[in-house]
Amino acid sequence: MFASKRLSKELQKLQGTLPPGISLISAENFEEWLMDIKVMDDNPLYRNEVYRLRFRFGSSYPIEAPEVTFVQDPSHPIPMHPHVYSNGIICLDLLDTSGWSPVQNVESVCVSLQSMLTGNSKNERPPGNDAFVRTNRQRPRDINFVFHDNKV
Amino acid sequence: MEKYDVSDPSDWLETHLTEFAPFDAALRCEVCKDYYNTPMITSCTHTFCSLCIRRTLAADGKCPICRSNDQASKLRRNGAMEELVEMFKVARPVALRLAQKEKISPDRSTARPRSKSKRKAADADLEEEAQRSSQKRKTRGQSRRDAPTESPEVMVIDNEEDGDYQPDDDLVPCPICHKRMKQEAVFSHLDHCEEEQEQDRRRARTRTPNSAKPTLGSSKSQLSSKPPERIAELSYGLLTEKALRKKLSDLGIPSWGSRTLLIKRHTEWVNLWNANADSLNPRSKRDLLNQLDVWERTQGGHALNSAAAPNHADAVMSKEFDGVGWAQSNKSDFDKLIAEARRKAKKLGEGQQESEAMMKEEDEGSSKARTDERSTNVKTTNESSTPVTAAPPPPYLKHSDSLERAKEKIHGSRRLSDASSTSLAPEATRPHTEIRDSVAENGAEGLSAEELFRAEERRASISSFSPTHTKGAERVPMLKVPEHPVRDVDGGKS
Repeated sequence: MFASKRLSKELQKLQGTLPPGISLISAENFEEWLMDIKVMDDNPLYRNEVYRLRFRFGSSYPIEAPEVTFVQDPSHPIPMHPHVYSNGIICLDLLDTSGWSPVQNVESVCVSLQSMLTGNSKNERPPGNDAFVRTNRQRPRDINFVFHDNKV
Repeated sequence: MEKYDVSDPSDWLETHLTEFAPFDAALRCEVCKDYYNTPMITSCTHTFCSLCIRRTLAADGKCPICRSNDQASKLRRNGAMEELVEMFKVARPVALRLAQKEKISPDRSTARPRSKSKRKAADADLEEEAQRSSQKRKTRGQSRRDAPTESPEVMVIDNEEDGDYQPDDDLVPCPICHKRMKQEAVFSHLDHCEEEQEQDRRRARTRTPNSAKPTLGSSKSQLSSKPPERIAELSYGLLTEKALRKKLSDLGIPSWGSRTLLIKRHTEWVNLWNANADSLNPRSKRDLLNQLDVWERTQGGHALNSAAAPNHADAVMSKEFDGVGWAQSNKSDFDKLIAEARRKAKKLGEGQQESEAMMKEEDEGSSKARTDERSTNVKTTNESSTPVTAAPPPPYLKHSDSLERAKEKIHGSRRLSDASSTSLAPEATRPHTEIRDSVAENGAEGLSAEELFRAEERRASISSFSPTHTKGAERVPMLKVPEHPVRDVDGGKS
């Protein structure tokens, strides 16, 4: 109820004007939304690519952070980034309980991710990516990330 | 997908008054994005709805905007903001409508459909707000009269002030204040119309939230004049589960569920209660309990997750009960129960066989029906409640395999003993089996051998097809001295 009301407000806003490079793909319910983001500058890593994000909201959103991951399909790859695992899980303090604030919203998360990609020049995955992707069965919210990199 | 009637700062962007969008946004809480409801100011001077900030602080103890640490006890009411919001909410629909109207006129053709729906939304908004409180309705009436609107719904008939103008079918609105009155009264009304409005306005000005408070309380008629007390937050780590449960039931809220759930529920209740205590217009405890109930269904113990309460039997019966999930989450419990039942079955099985056989033999039809009925009962209680609360069923009901064996036996022997089985009332068998049960529990091991022997013996006796003998040997309760001497026909001991 609480979450739905807030999400319906956000949705109304998203259906209006959005920052460049961000678009709403689907929001059929108040549990899962899809958003597309594009990196607007000429970063060779991400040029001409569109990345798809999946937002999952719990019933205590916005007190609790949404679960945000990149999703892969034929037209949407997982972006190369030292904080993005190849299964789409994003290591970003903003999306963790420690960094999340109810002031954030879907749009602001998209903008943050957009700028996280823009500022990156390393064409690499996080260390231990293969092992993590192979073994991880946890949902992103249950993973204990250690946030060490303040450059992003 | 549910549709909410949402007003948003972006409503202004399509009107003449785009500058109102940030103004509108500034009157909204950053957490729920709605107008401040009982705004509270934090130590870092950010303002939020009371409930929003209390929930947030309960979750992580930080201000959502600047991430500085804060405590719910340090929150203070932001009275000026509250007044501002209330007044703006009243003025908004009118202003929005006006702003939209001005915008349409130059390019009517393109803007029309859009603005029409907008206007509809604004009307809905207006109605919804009108229902919200009687106080607001009053001020709204004021502002409607003041504002030059042409909407037909602005028919404020104020009986207090115009007692002599009876509302009737053929009324006409005053061109200045839009009050409706008889045609012949309009001219006399016009003479003092502006004067009245001036008075109204003055009255409105003096009606600050503080003076409005008593009228609000009385209009709700639910609460006494003294404001409700705040509930203190608890340091849950220092409380035992029992003490916590007691705290909850002392507060008059449900006290079932796991410790985690108890803590979550208490936190939510403290937030709801204290936010309500902050409010100028507090609601009754029953309202809050309803709200807690909504929480329970969406986020608490009735939400479909592992926290589902095991001792809430109705949950199991409800249609949307997740049977598979329940079975999985309680698998270990079920397994334990089954294992226990098996163990007992093994222990008692042999003793039971006999009593079962006997009972069946004596009163086939009725006792079978009874057994079936009871076994289904037991089954449901086992499923719907905790193992502890389920009444221990007569042991023979649990042991389906021994029951089967008994049935087989009966079928085998029935052909032979049909003639011999006389009618013995089921009541007579009841104490009989009870005694047997208690004995079986006390010394099942020692007894079973003996009983096995007896069972064998009986089978032999049945097959010998002697009615009188069967009668004598069969009807004697296990450990009761028979009333008539037992005939020791074939050397058995009894």
